[in-house]
Amino acid sequence: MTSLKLVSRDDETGACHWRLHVPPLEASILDQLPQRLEDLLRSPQENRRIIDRLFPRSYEDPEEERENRRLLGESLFDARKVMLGEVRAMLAAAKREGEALDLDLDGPHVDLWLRFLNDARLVVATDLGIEKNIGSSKVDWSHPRAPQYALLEYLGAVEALILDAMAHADGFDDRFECDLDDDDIDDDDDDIDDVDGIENDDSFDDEM
Amino acid sequence: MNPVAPPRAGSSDTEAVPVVDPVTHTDNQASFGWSVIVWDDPVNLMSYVVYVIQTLFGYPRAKATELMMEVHETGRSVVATTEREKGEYYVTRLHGYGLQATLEKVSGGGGDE
Repeated sequence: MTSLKLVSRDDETGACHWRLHVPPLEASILDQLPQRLEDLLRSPQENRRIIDRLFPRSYEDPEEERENRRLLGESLFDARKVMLGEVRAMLAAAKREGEALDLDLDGPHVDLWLRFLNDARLVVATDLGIEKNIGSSKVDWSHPRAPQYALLEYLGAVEALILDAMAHADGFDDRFECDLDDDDIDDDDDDIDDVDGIENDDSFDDEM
Repeated sequence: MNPVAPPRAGSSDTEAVPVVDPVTHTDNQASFGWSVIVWDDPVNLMSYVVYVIQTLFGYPRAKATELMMEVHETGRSVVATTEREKGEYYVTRLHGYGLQATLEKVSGGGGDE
């Protein structure tokens, strides 16, 4: 089970050091993600929808946008590649217990991983054609793209785990440890999906 | 926005706040000229949007949550109003975090161009 543990906290600055434990199957998926994202960046014309989502426009006005893109040049792509290189380096340096993975995350690394996880979710969601709020959802395993939906759910659950822990770090003691609940990745396939393979969970309806 | 793990009331601020310029968000918006707008998105987690707004603009968590909720409920929110160059910087940073953001001239404002 993926889990997050508070390793230490600086009493003066409040800065936290976390350890994210990722079991073998999920670790093998995370290991592959940077390369998959880099491959997308190398073929922008073939992945136009995803590229447009990762690099949205800055101006509504086409002239302004064109000029802005001209000035930015390749810097946006380069920044994404740098981020993926840093993630890859962290994965390479991570502690391994068998095929499980332990990632040590301090302030900058937490930020890096949140951006990486979010980018990966944007890529998967765009590829799935998700265009409206999906809420927390159960994966319909009869759907032909169930693995992608499951990946989207898993990445979102890890992202939420980190964000929630950070937001409440002041109230934790050094023994804090939090697991991804089994319910976060629900494989119940008895329900009819609401959004092309995803069934909304009513427990999160109060957010809208 | 994806509502998974909504922020809880009374949460503390995040630890990383590298860029802090609260004066860019002000009621006297017209004097700056350019609005940084964050748009609603079906994928980004609400708690992530709060984190990003806090991290980039240095707002307290309550303020960042308020702006996130405005995005969620109305489809967009002006998260900062500033001069054009700084606005472009913020929009680029927001894009780097995966948020949909644009820069818009304040109507009737004293834009720098």
